[in-house]
Amino acid sequence: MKQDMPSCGGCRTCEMLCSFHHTGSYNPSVSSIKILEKEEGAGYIVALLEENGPAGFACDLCRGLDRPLCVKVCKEEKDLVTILKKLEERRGGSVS
Amino acid sequence: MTEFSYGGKILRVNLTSGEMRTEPTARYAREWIGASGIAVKILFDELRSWVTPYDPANLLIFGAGALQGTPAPGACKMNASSLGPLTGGWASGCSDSYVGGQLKYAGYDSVVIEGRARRPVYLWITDGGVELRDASGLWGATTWETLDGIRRELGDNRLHCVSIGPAGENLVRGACIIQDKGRAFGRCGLGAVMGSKNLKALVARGTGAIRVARPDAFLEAVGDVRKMFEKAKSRDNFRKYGTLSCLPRKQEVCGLPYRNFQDCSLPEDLLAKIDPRKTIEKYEVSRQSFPGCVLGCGRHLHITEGPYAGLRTEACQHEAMGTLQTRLAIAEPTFLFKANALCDQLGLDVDAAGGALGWAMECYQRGILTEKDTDGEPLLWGDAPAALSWIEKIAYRRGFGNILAEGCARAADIVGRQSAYFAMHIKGQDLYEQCRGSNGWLLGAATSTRGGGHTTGAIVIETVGELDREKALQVYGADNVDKPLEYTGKAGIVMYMEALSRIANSLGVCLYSTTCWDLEQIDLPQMARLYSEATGRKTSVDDLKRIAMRQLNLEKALNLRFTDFDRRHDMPTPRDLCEAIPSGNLAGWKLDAKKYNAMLDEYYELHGWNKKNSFPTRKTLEDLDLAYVADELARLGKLG
Repeated sequence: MKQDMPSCGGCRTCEMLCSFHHTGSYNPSVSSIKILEKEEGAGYIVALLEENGPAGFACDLCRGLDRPLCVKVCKEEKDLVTILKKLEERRGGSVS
Repeated sequence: MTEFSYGGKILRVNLTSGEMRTEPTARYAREWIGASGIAVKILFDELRSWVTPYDPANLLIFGAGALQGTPAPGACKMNASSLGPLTGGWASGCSDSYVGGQLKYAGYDSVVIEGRARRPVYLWITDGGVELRDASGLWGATTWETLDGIRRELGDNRLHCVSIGPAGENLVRGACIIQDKGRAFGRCGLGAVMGSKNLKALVARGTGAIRVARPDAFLEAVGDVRKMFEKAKSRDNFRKYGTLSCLPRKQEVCGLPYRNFQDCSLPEDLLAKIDPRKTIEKYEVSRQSFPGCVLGCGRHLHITEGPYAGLRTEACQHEAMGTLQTRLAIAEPTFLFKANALCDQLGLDVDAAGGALGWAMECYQRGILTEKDTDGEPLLWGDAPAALSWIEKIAYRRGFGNILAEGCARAADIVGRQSAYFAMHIKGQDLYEQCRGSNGWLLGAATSTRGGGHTTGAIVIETVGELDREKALQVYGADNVDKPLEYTGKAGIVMYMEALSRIANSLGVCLYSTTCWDLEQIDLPQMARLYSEATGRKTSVDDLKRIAMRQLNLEKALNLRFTDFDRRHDMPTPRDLCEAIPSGNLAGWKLDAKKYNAMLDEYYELHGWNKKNSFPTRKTLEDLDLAYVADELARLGKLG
């Protein structure tokens, strides 16, 4: 699932925390959340993996935690929560 | 053995032979932490006294910070170090960088480059291997074209690279190295060293993991440090405008170079016209920050009107405002973004451009230079199109630009005619800082081991505004840090700033995220905690301070091996010594040379350096377990 997030500055701290959630170490290449540069112009798109694969682990919305780790470190957490809620609608889970 | 928080290996690449090998980072990490710290140790140990900056035997060392690749707040900096062509001594610059993190995920902490490739190459590093690839097709390209070209060639539009532009290829002494399109390993001419090695770019992509020793405790430390920023007074303005938010304050404290430092504040109409906050509000299209950043001071602009309509670029920081816009007295408010973008494309340090052009315009104003010298073109204050044209001429070494490409100190030496007084530099490095009226800033900039500049010891926070007394005393060890006109106690604060900046650079922590800028931000205790939890090695603030002083003494010793620097080179510029501030809130204030010298004496005493010549003493070096450095200085006849 890909969503434009105009407020994202590309700090990618979410990617690092996401990989920590899945593996216990920091490795953005396996994170569920990917911050992608737009093909045209500046700004970022948030991609969330819905299935496990070579690109990384499927997002489980940090099941078991009070809040997803990516949200905890996002400077624009409201916008990220909105995106996660869209995933939640498709897959179930809880985002606070 | 895998080191926690590190990639684990240092990559050695010989561009002459194509030979590559690795060594464990652990060999250096315990004593020198990482990045700039490891680099200065390697430079000191391996550069023979006959090596010159453009000699193939010179080393260019890229290093990712020891905390880079983890979510440690602000840990997004990568360092490049070498023997530099501007000062002739220690050269080192840090840049926000995606490449540093990727390098570590690929398993490397530093890359030590020696030799010179027979034809242009770029270095492509992955966890699957390291490759030197032909860059003949990219030679001559701007840094922006280089990134796009490499992404196309390697078929991955998420790749990041550090590269040089035409300025580096043409050995412009102030050439820098650019990360992607908008961030620079600035100062010192590191891009020219890279150009001398025929190395166009370094590209890294890693898919491995960085492990930390105590994952939960580290994450808790990350959370606690991130929370600190909520209290930082500067945060909101910083998020909106970055350091460009400081222009009005700089005007109040006479901290702006105007017409090459002839004045230290701006005419009010010019100030109002160039206010960068208005420009940002009008043209911002998106944000920009780097891995782990808590502040988010960057942004992208799309200028839609005026002479640079159509320009899409990342916004710059205040440095470009001071060194190009106000120094050259240019009124077009979008000029600094255009000039900064052009310098980034050409791989030219903004201060090297501003330093040389400011000197030249003042010499033209005074009749020292005439159109006979300057390719028939007038050099007039405020002439934006001419300034942009000269930036290109410097990068391509065309006409009089060939002389300006040597930096203001050497340009003045070539021209003579008593023009040296107007060349604003320290140790050959063009100076952006307005130092009059800010004594702690001046002391840190003048004593800087890499030459003029405020990021290795200057008290940057001195002019920011009034600080909480108690908190300031606790952080900086003095309660007059916000009294820029005072001389007492400043040497000790400079020493604190020297330690802070060196540890931040070794860890890869952005200085903007530290107490350098706001006393509610990351200080040495937080860095010690993050580093301890990440590596599993209990490291105290005193340990960090000692490591920083070891680094500083090694930088100093490297300078003593390659240059004739002594106490004279730690003095302010002649203009700062001789001229009072002409106008503004500090009109009439003049530096007291006697008091400056007393401040310098105190600075040397605190460091255990000889007051007469600035050289470290044997005792100082031995106390820091640097007896081998003392032996070397004794051989050079430069033991203090």
